[in-house]
Amino acid sequence: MDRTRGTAATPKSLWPESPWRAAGRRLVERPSASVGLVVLITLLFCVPTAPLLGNGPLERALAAGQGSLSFALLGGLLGAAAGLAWGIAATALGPRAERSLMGLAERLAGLPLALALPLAAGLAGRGPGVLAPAAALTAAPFIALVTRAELRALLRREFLAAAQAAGVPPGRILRRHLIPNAALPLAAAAWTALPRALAAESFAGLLGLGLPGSVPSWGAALAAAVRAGDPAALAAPALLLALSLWALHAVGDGLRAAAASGETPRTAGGGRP
Amino acid sequence: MLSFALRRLAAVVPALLVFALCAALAAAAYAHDWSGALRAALVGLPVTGALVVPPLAAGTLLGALLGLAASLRPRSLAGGAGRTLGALGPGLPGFLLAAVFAASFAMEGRSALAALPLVWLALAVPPAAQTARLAREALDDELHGPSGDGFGDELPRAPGSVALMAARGRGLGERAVVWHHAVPLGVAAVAGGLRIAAVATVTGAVAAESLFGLPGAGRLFTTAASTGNAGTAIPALAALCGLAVLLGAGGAVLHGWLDPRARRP
Repeated sequence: MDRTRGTAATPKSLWPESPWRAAGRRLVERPSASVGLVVLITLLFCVPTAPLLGNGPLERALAAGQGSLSFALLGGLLGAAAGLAWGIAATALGPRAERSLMGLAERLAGLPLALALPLAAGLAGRGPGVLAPAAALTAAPFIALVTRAELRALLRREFLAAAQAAGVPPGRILRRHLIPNAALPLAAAAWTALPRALAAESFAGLLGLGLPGSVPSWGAALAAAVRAGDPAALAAPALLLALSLWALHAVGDGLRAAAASGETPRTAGGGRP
Repeated sequence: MLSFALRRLAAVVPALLVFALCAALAAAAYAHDWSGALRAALVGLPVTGALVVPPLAAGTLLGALLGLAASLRPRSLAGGAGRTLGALGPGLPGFLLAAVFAASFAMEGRSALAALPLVWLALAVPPAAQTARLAREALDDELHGPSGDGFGDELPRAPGSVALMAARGRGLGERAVVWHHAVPLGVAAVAGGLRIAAVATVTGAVAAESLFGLPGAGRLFTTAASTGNAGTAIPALAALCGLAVLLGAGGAVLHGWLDPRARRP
């Protein structure tokens, strides 16, 4: 098994670098992903503490991020779980189920799914219990398609055939080969649910059909600024929303690149398979 | 090619019929005047189409040119613009730009036509950014091999696709290799992303119609949804989905025309 690509030792170290450490290094080596990580960490620190900082436009916009980012996390986690389960089920249940499940995902991916949020908010109420599944729907088909593609590519790898030919039990193949090698690509796929959920909620909030009025959000702040025709009030939430979306996408791209370049088989704990 | 285009367009007919059926059932179940609800959705659809198609086409064309420039002439002004647009694109969704324009330019009391340039500009930026990024990455991959290939910085990148290696091996000049082989593959990748761009543009158009008060299916959908009127909201949503599906099918036909590999069933 070729272990030279993912485990290239650093010049100072004689020991091979573990695959997870190599992926982390590749992630932070991408300038956009590093900047995105810094932006996200800064936002995660500033948003909860914004009420303590003052009551200016920027502080108010930062405080409004609590609702948006919390909802993005909730909707994103739901969407990621649904998409991963969808893709894994399509891969595991055989060709017939795969065709029908992936056909459905492909068809849904061609529809403006973000409109599900305003529709759900208008017809069934604006609680997070209604909006979060709608936000999950905007991301799940895309994650399912990527999950299926990643798993299919992984199942065709030579090291799995070699492990089967060597008589390694299926449970051990799953634990030592499949899960360690699938984790990073699937995490990269799942990450895309976060920006999708954030964008969908902000879109619905801009139309006045997002989170309830008691929960501040960037979409609602944008809508209020547009109604008042006040570009100055719009600047801070628009900038923070754009920055968050960009940072989430940049980190997602970094994760995808780190996963794509880690073609070397990984084993649990970085050991020999 | 014609048979592929007809097959691809015929493939969306069942989806369109399902949307029409959903719209009719929702209007019949929830609307007081079901034929009026269906008519309103259909009347608004051309307005939404007029908002979506020009920026989608112009943004895609401009983004493709800038993306190709970013790959072929990275130090030129157009190349820098392509790289910047592609990098910033994910942070600039159409609804956000529409909100910025709606707040910055007071459109009250003016005709809907006065808002059109602003709406088109807001909706053209996201497809242009996506296309610039796709074109640059596809052309970079074709010419130099995929980036981030795990070899680290200390080793050279892969020498590009097999087709380009074959063309170079047969003695073709670099210019011919780029323009006759690499650029068409880069443009084909752009066409492959048209479906996603169309969906994003339709979503942005819904926000733009609501913010600028334009009488399209998107505004009808928003107004009906905010009043809880399912009999009008669902037909309007079905009309918007139909438009997105039709535009996606158009993108697939264009993709098949540019890249014969995409015509395989």
